[in-house]
Amino acid sequence: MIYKKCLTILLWVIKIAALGASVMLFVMVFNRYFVPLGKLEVAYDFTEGSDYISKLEPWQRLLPPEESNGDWSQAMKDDLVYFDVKIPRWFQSVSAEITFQNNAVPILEIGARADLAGNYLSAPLQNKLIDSLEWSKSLLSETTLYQRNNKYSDVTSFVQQPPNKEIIGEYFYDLKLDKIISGYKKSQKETIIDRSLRGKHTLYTYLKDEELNFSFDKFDLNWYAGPDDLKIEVYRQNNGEKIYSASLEDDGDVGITGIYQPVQNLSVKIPNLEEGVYRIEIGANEDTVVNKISTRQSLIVFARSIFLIDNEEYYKNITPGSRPTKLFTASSTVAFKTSHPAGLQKVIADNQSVNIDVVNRDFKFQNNSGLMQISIPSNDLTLNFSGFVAFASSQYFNPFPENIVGINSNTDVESLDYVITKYLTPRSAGDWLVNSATFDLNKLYKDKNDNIRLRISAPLLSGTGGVVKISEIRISYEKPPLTLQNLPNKIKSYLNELFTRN
Amino acid sequence: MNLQWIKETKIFIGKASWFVFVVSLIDYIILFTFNSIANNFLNAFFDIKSIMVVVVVSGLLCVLSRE
Repeated sequence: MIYKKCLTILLWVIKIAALGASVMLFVMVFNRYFVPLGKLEVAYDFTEGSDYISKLEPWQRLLPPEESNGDWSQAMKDDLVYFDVKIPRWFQSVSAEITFQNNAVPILEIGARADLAGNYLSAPLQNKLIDSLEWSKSLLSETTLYQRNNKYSDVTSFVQQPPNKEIIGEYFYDLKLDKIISGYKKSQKETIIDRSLRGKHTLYTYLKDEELNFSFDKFDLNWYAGPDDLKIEVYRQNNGEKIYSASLEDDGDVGITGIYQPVQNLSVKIPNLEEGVYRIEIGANEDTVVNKISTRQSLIVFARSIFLIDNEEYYKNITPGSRPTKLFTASSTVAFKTSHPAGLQKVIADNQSVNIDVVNRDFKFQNNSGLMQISIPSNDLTLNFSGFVAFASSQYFNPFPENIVGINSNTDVESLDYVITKYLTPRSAGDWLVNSATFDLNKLYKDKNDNIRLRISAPLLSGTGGVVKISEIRISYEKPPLTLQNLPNKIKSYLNELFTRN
Repeated sequence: MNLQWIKETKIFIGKASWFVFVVSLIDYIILFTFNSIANNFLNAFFDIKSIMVVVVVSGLLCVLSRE
């Protein structure tokens, strides 16, 4: 009798447990799928794979994952590594929190791919140059102002009336100061840059009482599969406003043929523009070449990097040999790099020889002479620089006010008087540092599998021989939480989405 | 007395496994349907086959415990 009673009780326990487990399962699935609280967190800690976060790649730029004191990590030994993050449902933004150790480079950044052309939105993870400053510090929301001499009471007064002589370093901050060149007169003749440039480039120009007039000739290398579009975007520099956007489609050959189709042209004419600096973004992948730029503007400089390819590696079937190139720059450092034996050469920079005798290595030149000339005999070179580069000395100008400096790995911060930044110092977690960056998913490029691509960038790492260790990648997906007010709309939009998709 | 104990146990296993079988089968059907329309969303964090194992084991127990 007692035994039967026990079994009856046990049966009820099993029934309640089974129902409870079902309810918990449905709650878990509901929570993971609809994310009613608006936040979903996933992590990859190098112990086992994640369904949301891919492994770091390419493997050639990484050391195998290793365990030390119970912490698993993977070390990157080159400047850039990438990983993909799956976006399981609609979210407004995604935050990436990186746990790292960096004893090798001054600056570590994270980026998220913004478009098909391979442009990335960047955010800081660590800037040792700024962290080392022992200046007075003012904070306003996410903005920090460092002052060598404490002249401004707060960030607001500095932003409203920045100094026009003392040197200001900007890092992930744009003071949006206008540059006016007194005595500038528009040119009566056309300027032609007839050197081939591979991939994306950024150039700046200046105009007053004239239309912005540029013409771009483009062809596709067809070395890689997929479409090779060229996208031109024009921005007003003082407010960052995009004023023009146009695209030139693929040449019709999306395969890996290596056949160069006839040159395509895109003409950009924008009248009635205010005097000032304009930024032109040439969005292109590594298969796209701009081989001629014609313009009515007389001041044209390229920013950050330039990839010259007038070399027999690219043109062996078209033109004999290579065409030399002359460049002018006031950049304090210029790094040269080639990926092919045909690009090995002796470059003359400021009358000094730079012998590029190894492929895939950065050869750095320190410029102490102001505006200098660089003679490149056979191209197939990527030049990375901290300032600007022009194809003629008459085309050279500094598109920013003279006292504004963009902080990068080569900047001597002790030469600055102020630093303004949206960078926040990483927090410590044991032997590791942790910092995060948030990206608006509307501004990111999603591939056909609903993945976004992120990259960790450690400029100059490959040249140091050191490594940056990554211990954990934690991704937080965020969207507005579910409330009683927005519940009916959410259900409606979900059903709409469901029936549209199926 | 011994036979009675075995009989009670068999009835208990039959009832319990039947209940678990029905509940887990309903769970499986709902989650399978949801997973199909939600682009295999569950695969990222939950293996739906684990419910099928419960369905099969409880179904088997249910059949074996029948008189």
